[in-house]
Amino acid sequence: MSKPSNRNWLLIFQWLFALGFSVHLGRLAWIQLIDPTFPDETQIPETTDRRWVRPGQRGMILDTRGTPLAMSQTMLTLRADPSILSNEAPRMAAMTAPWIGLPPDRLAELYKLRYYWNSNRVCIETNALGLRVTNSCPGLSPLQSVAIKDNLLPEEWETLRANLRGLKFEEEESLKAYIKKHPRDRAKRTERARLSARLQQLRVLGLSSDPREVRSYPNSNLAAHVIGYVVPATNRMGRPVDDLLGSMALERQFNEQLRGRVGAVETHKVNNQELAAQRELDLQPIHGMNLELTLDLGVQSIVENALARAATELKPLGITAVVIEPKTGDILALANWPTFVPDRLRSVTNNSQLLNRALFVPFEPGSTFKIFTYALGFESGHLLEDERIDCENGRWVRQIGKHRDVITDEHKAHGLVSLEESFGQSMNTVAAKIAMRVPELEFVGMLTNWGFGRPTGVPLGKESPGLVKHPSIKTGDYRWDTLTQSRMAYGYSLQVNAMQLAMGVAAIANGGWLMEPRLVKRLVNPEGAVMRENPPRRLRQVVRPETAARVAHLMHAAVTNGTGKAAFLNEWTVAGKTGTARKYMRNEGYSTDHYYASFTGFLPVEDPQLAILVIVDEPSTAGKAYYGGKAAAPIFAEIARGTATYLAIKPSPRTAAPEPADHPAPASPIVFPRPESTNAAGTLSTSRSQLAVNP
Amino acid sequence: MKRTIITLLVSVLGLVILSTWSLYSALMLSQKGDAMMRNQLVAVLIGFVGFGFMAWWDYRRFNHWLWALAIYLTTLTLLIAVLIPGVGTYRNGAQRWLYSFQPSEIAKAAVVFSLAWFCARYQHRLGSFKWGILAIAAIILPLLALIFSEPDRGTTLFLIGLTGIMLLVAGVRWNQLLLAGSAAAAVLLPVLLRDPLVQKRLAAFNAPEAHRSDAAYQNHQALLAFGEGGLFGKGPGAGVMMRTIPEHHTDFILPVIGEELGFLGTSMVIFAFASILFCGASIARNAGDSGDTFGFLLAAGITFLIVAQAFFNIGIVTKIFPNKGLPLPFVSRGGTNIVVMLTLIGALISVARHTKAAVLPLKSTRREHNDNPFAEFQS
Repeated sequence: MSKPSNRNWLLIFQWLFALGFSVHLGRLAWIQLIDPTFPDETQIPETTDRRWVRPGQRGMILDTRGTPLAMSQTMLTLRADPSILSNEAPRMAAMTAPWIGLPPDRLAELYKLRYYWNSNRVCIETNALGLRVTNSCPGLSPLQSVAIKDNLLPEEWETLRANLRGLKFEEEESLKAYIKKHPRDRAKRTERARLSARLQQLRVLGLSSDPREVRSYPNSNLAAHVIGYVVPATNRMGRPVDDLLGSMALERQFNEQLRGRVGAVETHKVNNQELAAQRELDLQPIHGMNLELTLDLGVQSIVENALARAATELKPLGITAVVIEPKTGDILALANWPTFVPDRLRSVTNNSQLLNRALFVPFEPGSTFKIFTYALGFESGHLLEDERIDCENGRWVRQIGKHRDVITDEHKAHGLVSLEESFGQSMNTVAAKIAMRVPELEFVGMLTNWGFGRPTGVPLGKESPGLVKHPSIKTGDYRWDTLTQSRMAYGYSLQVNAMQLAMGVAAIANGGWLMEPRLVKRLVNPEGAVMRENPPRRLRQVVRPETAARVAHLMHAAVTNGTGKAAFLNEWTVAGKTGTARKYMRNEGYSTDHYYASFTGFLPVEDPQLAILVIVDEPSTAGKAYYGGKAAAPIFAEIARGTATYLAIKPSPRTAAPEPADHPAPASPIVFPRPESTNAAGTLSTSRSQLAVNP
Repeated sequence: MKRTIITLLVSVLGLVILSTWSLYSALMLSQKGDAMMRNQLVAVLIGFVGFGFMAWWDYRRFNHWLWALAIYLTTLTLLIAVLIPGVGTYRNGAQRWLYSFQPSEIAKAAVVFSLAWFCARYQHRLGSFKWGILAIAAIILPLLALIFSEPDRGTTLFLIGLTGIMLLVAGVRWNQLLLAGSAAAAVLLPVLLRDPLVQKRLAAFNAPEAHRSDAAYQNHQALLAFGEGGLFGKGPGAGVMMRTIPEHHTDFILPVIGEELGFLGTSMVIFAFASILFCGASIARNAGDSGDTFGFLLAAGITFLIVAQAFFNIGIVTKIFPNKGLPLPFVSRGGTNIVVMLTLIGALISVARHTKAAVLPLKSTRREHNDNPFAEFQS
């Protein structure tokens, strides 16, 4: 049995402690509510509001096989904090130099303490009333960030950081060893703790890194006009922001889809440690989408090589080539010469390097356009397949009111000629006659239907739609006059862009369907999910399949027996048409020594897989190499041969391709004109009405 | 009794939850904060296992000399082991740890157990100086000496005080105890006063302004943290000043609560400990009433062990007492502490559960039959 005294003592202690707790309660109320102690500024831990940005990476541009054409990489800028490093500048420089790859004395110079004029400097002062106030007092502040090295890979930075963390200092090591021997030496322990804190600052805060997005184009100049380039983005005040802005072609048109959205963190730091629970903003970055193109880098390189080689020989103002898959409208290659390297924009010396001629330069196509004249003739029923038309012996003179209109041919023929001959020899007289059989409105309507005079919709910018005159417009520069239709028959008096021409020819190749040119296959997000699919799209059937077949036959004949012999290939049957157009110069009218040489065609004829267009702007007139058949057709042949081989297109059966009378030797890709074939200079008249050079 | 147990449980659970929460807040910036937090949570889990085990078991099984001897000898062995160089871990100027395990925390429980057993067993002889003072001194002194030599002076002093309280409650004469206490003071005081650390802390307590940058720094920053908190505090995780307090996750955890939850938080802590005090005392009294001296002493010892630690800890962090390292039970970081404290609470509940039947007379559900036909007029 417990004695009563036990319980008394229990009670006593119970109430003593209870009393004690109420004293505590009172004390807490005193120090928390009634008379709290306030810190002076030296006792407030350094609290900073920090905001940092997590970069969102720009998406890639990929070709049809997934080869990157444009890609983004996060590179780091190495920075040093001289306000921390300056105490140990020479020593730290010597230790870090081998890792950074800069000479130690240069680093020591960078690590030295420097000051800058800080207009936002804040100081705490005592004012006239004796109160401590925060004032702004501009003055010198120590520089805390110096860029040391650019374009550091993230892995390099990780290695460097690990190396820095592992830095050993003699004095610390010796202290460590001493303390191991004398573990109870308090003074030395304190000394070591202080030293370690200082050295840790050197190791952790001395060097830091800033991420920066770097856009790279791994294929040099290939498809430069399709990809475009980026520039650093700026805000409204013109200050650089941490983003890239697409400035040309796909980079520009798909800037919103390609660019990543930055994530951000807003947080508070106390003594340089983050209060993770107090994050006010924690946004993950969104990486940009990848753009998958129909472009095939292999085809593109074949085309660009061919253009570059031809450019050295022809010395033109520019060359454009487009390769299209007729059945889908896919653009397999789109190339221009001169070109540029998106990675090295500074080496661009001439703005014409940046010009995408395929879309932005409208031109008068010349004889190449006869393809459409003949097709319209067949389609409207005004031209029969086995018809023979009088070629007026190569000089057709018409008296229209007061005007005398003369249309001449270079190829001299007599009397009635077959369609194969007139198309193959590119007779302007016959083409004009065919065109004039078709009623004006029907003629223009069908051309418009074919896509001429309208933008094709290739997403590379605001393209030039060309110009097709309309019979209802009787005044002004673009008026329809009595000569217009006969001129349009052989490719003058209208303007087209190369893509329209190529898609038009592709429509012949695929049996009469006008396809929408497809450059972007799909948009894929970084996780691989398809965000937007762009399937091949048929716009409309512009001619019946029989018409297309008839025109294809004529084009095939033009390559085997006509002006396009230079485009003949042994393995594949080729259909094509040459064109040589005189350029309209501002002051002198239609020029006698500035031409557009063009060749457009497709192959193989029996099952067309490729439609190719080559346009040479102002080929050198030396050696009479400016004809479409001399300047452009060999380039076509080289592109066609290379691409068909590369894409493993089935060779045509031998029987389908009759051997031409004389076809170029396949060894040399570009065949230059033989001197005997030229006497054109004499026949070219400067008169306003005599426009064309036929072949 | 059921209400007592529930109040006790709610208080302890509340403290443990508050502890987990404020420790997260205190540790989230530390370099190994997540590992510390994980260890603490594991310790809490182990503590609850021990708690359940003790609450389920009948505490009277421990009222046996074999148990008392086993606990005593184990503690002694651990305390000796900790002093062997190479076995014990030297940290912060003292050799107190076996790896991450602190035997002096166990010693607190061991003192309570062995004193409870001894005093219950030799209740009738405690009045004599030989049994009441000398025999008990013989039991306690080896433990105290070992803890003192770690050195862990705070715990030693605390255990001396606790022994005094327990002996008084057990029925040792107060004049004899006073004599023994004076003797102990005569031995200890000169030693303590010559200790430079104690001197520094006393000086800091007397003249805090002069020692603000060293000895009084911890206390001063704690006061600032309390002051920053105000009535409602800055909110969870928003404490800034508390991060400048050394050891803010162990002994100085209350300023963390004070800054982040304000006076409401700190007063809740105090009410929780007060309710532990009253529940524990009530349990002890019940056990005493049912005639179980061991249960009475055990419950009283456990209650005062917990409450006194809390009392001194809060007194220290609010600058009522000079600085001395004592953890706040259930709240401070420290695995051994929380395991031992939760296990002891289990023992306390065991006492409450198993004395209940003896305390309250069985109530019959049926009304007793009374033969007297005038029974209803009797009262």
